[in-house]
Amino acid sequence: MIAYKFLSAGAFGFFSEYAWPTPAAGRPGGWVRVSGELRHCENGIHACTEEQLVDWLDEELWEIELDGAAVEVEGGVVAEAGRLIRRHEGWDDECARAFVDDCVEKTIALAAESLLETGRKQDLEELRAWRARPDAERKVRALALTFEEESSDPIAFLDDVLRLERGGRPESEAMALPVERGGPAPFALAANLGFVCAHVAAQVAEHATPGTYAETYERERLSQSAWLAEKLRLQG
Amino acid sequence: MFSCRQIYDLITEYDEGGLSTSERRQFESHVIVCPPCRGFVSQIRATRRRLGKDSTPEFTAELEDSIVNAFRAWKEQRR
Amino acid sequence: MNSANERRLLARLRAGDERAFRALVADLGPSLLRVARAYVRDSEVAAEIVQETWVAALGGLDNFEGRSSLRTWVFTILANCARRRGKTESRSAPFSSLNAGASEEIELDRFFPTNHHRWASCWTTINTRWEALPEEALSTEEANAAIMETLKSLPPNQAAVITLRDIEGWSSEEVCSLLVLSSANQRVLLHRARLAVRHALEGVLRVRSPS
Repeated sequence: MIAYKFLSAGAFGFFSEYAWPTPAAGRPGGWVRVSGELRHCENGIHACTEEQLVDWLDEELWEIELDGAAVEVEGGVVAEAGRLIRRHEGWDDECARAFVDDCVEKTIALAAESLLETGRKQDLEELRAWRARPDAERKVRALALTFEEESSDPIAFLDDVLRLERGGRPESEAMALPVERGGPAPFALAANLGFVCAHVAAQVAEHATPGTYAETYERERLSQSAWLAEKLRLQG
Repeated sequence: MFSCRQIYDLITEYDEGGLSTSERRQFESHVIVCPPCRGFVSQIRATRRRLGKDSTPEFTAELEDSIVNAFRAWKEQRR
Repeated sequence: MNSANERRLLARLRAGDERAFRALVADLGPSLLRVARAYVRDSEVAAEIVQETWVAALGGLDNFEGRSSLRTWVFTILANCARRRGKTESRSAPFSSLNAGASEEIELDRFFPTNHHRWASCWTTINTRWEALPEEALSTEEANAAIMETLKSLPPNQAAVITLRDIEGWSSEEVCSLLVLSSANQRVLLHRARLAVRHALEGVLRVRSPS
């Protein structure tokens, strides 16, 4: 069975701290096997399907072949054995930035809808111009601040998303350091914004129709994974 | 899903295998989507690695001699 | 050391075999010194504690029943000596405090409040990834000094746990056995100590490369 696995730089498992053998000279990486009972998050080769990509984002995307017993678990699959087949070079900084862009655009669209519904046309124009005109940014920030603290409106999140997109923090002027000095890499921002923007969409849905947070969140995440699979031209 | 504060509070439990499967999954899910928590986890790991490289304080010849002298004195009074 | 080897060693020690004793001292000495330093500020006092430990061990050698390993037994004696001495030394302890829950207060201001509408209990700060750092970055003079100061300022049981676990590489079971701690208790002490050292190292790194 072919599945996907995200690893940190050097085919290194972030949580397992395991250095995976990588393909060489046209041959797949060596088989990695576990013994004993498969236990989610504790014992086994962990991988995910195309639908679950965005839950696992890390620096390197690998195609992995699984073998032996396998169990489906929340967010992925755990198998007895696996070997890395090839790395998807298409998942790179540029792809991660495009992913972030797409997430942020969706949040802007939600915010625009909200402004439309409340008849704030002037503000809507400012918002639409925002991406094109950096000087409109201050206005958008000010706009975000005019909303009540308790608001679940996406506008309230826009200022946050703006800062997160650049590796900063909500309500902070601190600038992110470049990656070489320990700042968040594009893949980390993709992981972050994917989550935040799905959360914003789910909150909007919950506010409109109570009880719909979870399904909206899941739907957003699936759509994000589909975007990625499409972009990377993954084959199921 | 866990909050950042919970990651901060539970990192050692996580590393020591003290969390349940469900808790481990929640822990990992959060860290993956949270850059400051990724940073924090990497910092704890680097801290542990650094401590593991700590060089032994000087166990001096002087100290060793004084201990051996104590041994000789002990041996002597046993006779 | 397996029990057959240990029985032989014990016999040789009791017979006054100096070479066997020297070998044991060389084996355990550096670790004993480090653990003693975890308890007291002064390195001379630490050396005295190690000295006292060996004297006490020799005195008790005939009565040692071998219920624990020789190594554990010697370290237990050390822990007792160190605790007695540690009580009479004054220790500055910025991280320890009069109440047990004190270290939960460390760095509380680094998180959004629990009632924040959008970011409850999230980090307010960017935390850089240290895996990108060169090896030497955490071994500079400043870093070494910061670690030393932190260890000295920790409550004795936190210092002992982190020294034995992370510096000396003892297992969790060994440490719990020596210090008579439940494994949950040991984890809490280890947690607080690690957070303190991380915090100190972060301070050093921040000073070296302001953003």
